[in-house]
Amino acid sequence: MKAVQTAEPMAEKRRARTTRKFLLMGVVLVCVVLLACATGQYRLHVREILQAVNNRLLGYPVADETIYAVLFHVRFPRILAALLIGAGLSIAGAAYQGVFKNPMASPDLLGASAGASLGAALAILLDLNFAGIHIMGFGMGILAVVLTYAVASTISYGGNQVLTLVLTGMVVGALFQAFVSITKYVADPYSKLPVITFWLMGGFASISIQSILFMLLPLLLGIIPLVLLRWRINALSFGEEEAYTLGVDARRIRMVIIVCATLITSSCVAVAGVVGWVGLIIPHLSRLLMGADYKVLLPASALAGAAFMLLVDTIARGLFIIELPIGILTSIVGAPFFIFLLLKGKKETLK
Amino acid sequence: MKLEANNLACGYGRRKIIQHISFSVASGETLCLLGPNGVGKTTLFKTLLGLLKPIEGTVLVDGRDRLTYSVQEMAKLIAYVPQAHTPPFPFTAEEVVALGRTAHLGIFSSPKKADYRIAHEAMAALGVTYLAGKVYTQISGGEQQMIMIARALAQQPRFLVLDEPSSNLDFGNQAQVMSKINGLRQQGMGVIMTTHNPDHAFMCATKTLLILDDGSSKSGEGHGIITKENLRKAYHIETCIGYLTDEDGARVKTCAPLFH
Repeated sequence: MKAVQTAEPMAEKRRARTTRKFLLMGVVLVCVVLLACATGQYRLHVREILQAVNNRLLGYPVADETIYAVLFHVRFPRILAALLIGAGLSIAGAAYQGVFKNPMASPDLLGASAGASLGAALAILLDLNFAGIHIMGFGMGILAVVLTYAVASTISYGGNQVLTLVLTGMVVGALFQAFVSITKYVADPYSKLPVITFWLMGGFASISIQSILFMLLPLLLGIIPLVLLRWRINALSFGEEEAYTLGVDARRIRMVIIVCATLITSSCVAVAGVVGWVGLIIPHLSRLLMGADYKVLLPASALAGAAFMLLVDTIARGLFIIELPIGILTSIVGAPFFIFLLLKGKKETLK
Repeated sequence: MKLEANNLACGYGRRKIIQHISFSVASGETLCLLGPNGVGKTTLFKTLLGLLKPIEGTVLVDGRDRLTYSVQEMAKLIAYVPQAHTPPFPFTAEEVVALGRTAHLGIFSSPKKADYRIAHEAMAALGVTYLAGKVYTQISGGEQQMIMIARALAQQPRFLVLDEPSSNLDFGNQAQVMSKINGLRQQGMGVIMTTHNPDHAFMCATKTLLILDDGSSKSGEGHGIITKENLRKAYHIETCIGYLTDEDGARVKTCAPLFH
């Protein structure tokens, strides 16, 4: 029993360290938000930002119309969108990695991104407005995953569902990508094609408050159950049979998680285009920082993903005079960063 | 508590891999399951654990059909110790053991302080508290096996089902694990384990089930059914079974293959 007593403070100490790390991540997030508020064609000072927010919160009259407009109508919606999408994609990616027992899984694994891309590309081809693009993107993203799930369930009746799902997801993803190519091929090369191409590269420039309201519901419907179920993802990452004997109805929970991750990914891609890498590298980074336990990993991924996405978006619009598509930037930042993480992970394992 | 199999036939779909299996194990008993590779031990295990539905016959837990229990109810009664394998993520041993508490938690909850205390008690019972903070993927196979057993104990089950608990373990660790299993049985745990080594049955078994390579089976109290003749039928080898006495007077029953 003595061992038990000495073991207790160790868990306590780890918990205290985790809390400190969360606080630190929170501070970083706030700093990134301030940086994003300040950066842009119209530069703002931190003092001006805080003052404007303060006045707004306390209901004082607007002191400076320009600052007010820049902050509340231009930057805040965009910042909010980046935070939500960064957090959403990271949580979805982390959950998929657990469910598919593979640290290489990303939120587009079952074809959600490819489906949403096709939906959006079709909507642009058909000259629909933003709402049309969002709805088509969201709907097709879900359709792609439903297709994957249905085909995989038929094939793997009673067998290894995880592997079949991954393979079917690859097939469905490739199929929808081919349809995207057809859409681009038939699109008018002078008007529609550039719009589709730019849209698929991803970006937050065209995001309005309406877009955010559109994706808020599916995003929250996806994120909240994932956060609530996060302990069970630990069990799932040991495989279906072990999860089952630990008291987790693996198939049902996995289906819930897939539904949630699909809601998240489809709504993100429908609104902001394809923003790759975030859902893959952020869970990795969070795992290195906070450990593998999903109880901590999922909230940590949300914080880190939000901060990362906003930082990259701020760089995308602040670095050059013209804005870079964010999908390109996340790939340029993401690929070497991922190699760095792999090297670091290897060193840790050798140690 | 009692776990019974009545004329069980198990397999995938309609294809029977193993059939006519009957046994019963009560709390405080150890059933050792022996049989050649590919004879369907794993299939039988999966059926006992509820991962496969029986094609014929029933599995009864305390007289009630296993299929009528929920996943969570079952996990509170029967814990499974799989062969140690490496999960894809660097969980600490403490987190792995705490996973055993899952069945006792609400669907949306995570382990609380009391659960971590139970996890630590399980590790202490096996003498592996020192592993708590270590990364599970980086400890030795023997240590992983101990953590898997600790996880099952944290589940606070009435029955332990162990799949070759001694495979991948060195000589010393095998003996350690067997002695722990004996200790748990003496405290009233019901145990079902598979093994490839008849000696393990001599060490632990209060009942033995030997599956022969034609799919038929022999069962009996103690380890009486482990005879030369039965082993020949199961494995097609000649064996030497007898008692070994060393100069200090220690005496064990053992089995060794004979070569011609």
